[in-house]
Amino acid sequence: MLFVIAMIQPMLPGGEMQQEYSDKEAPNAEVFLIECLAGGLLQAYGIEEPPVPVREMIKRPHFIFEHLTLLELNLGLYDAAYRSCPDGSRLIVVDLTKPPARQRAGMARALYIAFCRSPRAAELHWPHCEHSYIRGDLFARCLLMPAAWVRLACAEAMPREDIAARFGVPAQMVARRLSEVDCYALGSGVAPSAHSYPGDGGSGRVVTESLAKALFSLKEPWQGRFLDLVANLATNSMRGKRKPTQEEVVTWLGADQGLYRDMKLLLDVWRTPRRFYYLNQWRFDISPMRREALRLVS
Amino acid sequence: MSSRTLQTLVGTALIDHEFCEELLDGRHPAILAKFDLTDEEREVILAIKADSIQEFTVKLYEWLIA
Repeated sequence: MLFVIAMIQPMLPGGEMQQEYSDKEAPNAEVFLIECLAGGLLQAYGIEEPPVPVREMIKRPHFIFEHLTLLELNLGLYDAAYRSCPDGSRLIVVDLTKPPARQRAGMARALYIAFCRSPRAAELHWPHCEHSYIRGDLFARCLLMPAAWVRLACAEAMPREDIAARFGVPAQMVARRLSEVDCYALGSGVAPSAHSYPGDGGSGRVVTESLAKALFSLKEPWQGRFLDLVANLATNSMRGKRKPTQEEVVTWLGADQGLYRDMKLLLDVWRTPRRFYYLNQWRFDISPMRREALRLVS
Repeated sequence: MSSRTLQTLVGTALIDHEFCEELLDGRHPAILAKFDLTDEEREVILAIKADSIQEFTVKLYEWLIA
């Protein structure tokens, strides 16, 4: 064992040895590129639901990861690390003493480093390959928690612990990913699951009043459009043209958790500068509400 | 369809050299058949002129947020 540690440790570049990776803000287009890379790998492996089997992905490496091997050891050092050997073989070493979720996050980070060291990355002139650890955390989140799946979990109003369990990732990664998706899709920095919904208890009235107040505080024409939408959804378009009162909106939102959640999501998305991008993503989603939302803010 | 399909398409190009070349070439619309794209997206993708997949991705991203 000591021999293995001695073999691995000195050969790791400094950045790759760090347990806490730098995770500087990436330009939007670069984030999109990394999301695409993760999406391409999930597609190539035929993975369609969480948890993403990152360990098996490394054990059965895609051809762009040729000569990559997973080494599972009880090191007590790092969650996982990437190492290229003089004979051309490449290793991802994972520490079995660490909690499984941390192992998975570490392996996903190391997989990104492995990609950055691959001939394909060189061919693509992949950005920041010389400092691949900079984007390793971002890639790990994109790979293990694809945005579309995270949004589904949010739509189910899952607690964060349940999201962590579903995706098999550390709670810290969930918080960061929810924040990212919120920045994209919600803008609030708070996951939907963290909100109190009507029916949750005494706070239900407070949150519905708060949302209704927010809708009534919008300037025209947005206020009218949002109120038309919530009224039509609440009454199945049976209410005429009269502008609803704030109390009516509170009542509708309090009576229908799905309506509350959709309106909250829509308002939060609408408030973010990047709303068009995220609404664009929803164009063909199943929810008529979201189709209406696109028309609303267009 | 959602932008996830577009991400998957670009991601496939990132890890598949041959697919990438055909995508950038723009003269092989058949390669898009396995992706659930709208007519508009198909047109946009085939109209993008780019020398690299990164450039292609940036242009696609710009169209998405436009």
